[in-house]
Amino acid sequence: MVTDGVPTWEEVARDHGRFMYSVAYRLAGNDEDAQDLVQEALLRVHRGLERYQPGSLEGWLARIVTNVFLDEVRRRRRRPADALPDDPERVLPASPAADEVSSGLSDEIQAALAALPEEFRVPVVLCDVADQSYEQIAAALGVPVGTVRSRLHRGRRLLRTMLTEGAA
Amino acid sequence: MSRPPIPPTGSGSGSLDPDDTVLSAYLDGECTDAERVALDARLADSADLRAALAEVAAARDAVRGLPLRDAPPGFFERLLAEGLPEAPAAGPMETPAPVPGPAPAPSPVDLAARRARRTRRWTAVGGAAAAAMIAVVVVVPRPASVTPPVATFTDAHAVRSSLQDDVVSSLVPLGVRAGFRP
Repeated sequence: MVTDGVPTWEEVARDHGRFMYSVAYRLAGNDEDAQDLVQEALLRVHRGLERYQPGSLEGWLARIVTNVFLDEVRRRRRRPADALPDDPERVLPASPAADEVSSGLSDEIQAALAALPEEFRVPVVLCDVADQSYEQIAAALGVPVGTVRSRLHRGRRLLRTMLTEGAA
Repeated sequence: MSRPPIPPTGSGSGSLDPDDTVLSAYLDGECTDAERVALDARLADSADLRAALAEVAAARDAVRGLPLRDAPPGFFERLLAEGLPEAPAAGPMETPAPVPGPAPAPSPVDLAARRARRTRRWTAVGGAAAAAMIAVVVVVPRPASVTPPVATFTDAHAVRSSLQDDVVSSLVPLGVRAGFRP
């Protein structure tokens, strides 16, 4: 039940879960971590709905997913044993599901995205997946808009280089 | 895995000026009017800059063209059916009602919570056991040797028997001679 424009967490999960999952997957690079991110993000949504001001719900959700992701990145840096292995198989399954066989190009882009350093990947995902403005990204990351602009541009350049070299 | 062809545009990635962040801002509609006018003028004059813009645009379009990613089947259904693992903060939000019926399969929520609880529990048990072992080794004094001093007892008995009536020896007359029948 939507009350005063504030949805319940169940409605968020039902109506915006796919969006949240996409952002989480593009940030994390694999389904296992994406599920953990979305679950934790929904928990934070549940706790924070009282403070939600009706407006850009998906912007708010993208920011929460990103915060969960960055928290997890920091946690894994503190505990290297939990760090994601530098194993491309973790990012790109060796045997994609049947409905993914034809998505080779998407896989290549996803692999390049996952290979971007996190400081570039996050603004790229927030801008090009979550469709956030530079100002929203800056607020989410706590950095100046100029930093977002620079990181986003460098991230795209790196991405383009990886994709072009991969095609060669 | 063979990589799908992604044709390079312009003169290659080397044509990009790393400081030309206005290119991304231009594509995103995030540059100022003055920047836009200035860049339009530069683009009109420079094929390299147009190529650089095309490369950034290709990277941007590649990511924007990615499809929405679906969660594994049943992920959200289980979350909705079983609720989130922790009670909500005080407020008007309703706590999800438990779902009646047979016990559902373990959800990611359960697994994560159980994994965390299990880790904490075994950490506590392990810590307690380790502390107990340390206490036993360090605090409890090690007992002296428990080997019975047989020789000492034998000698003492012999001395006592030679000086006083030996209880055991005094029973000998009461005994029945034992022997093997021929």
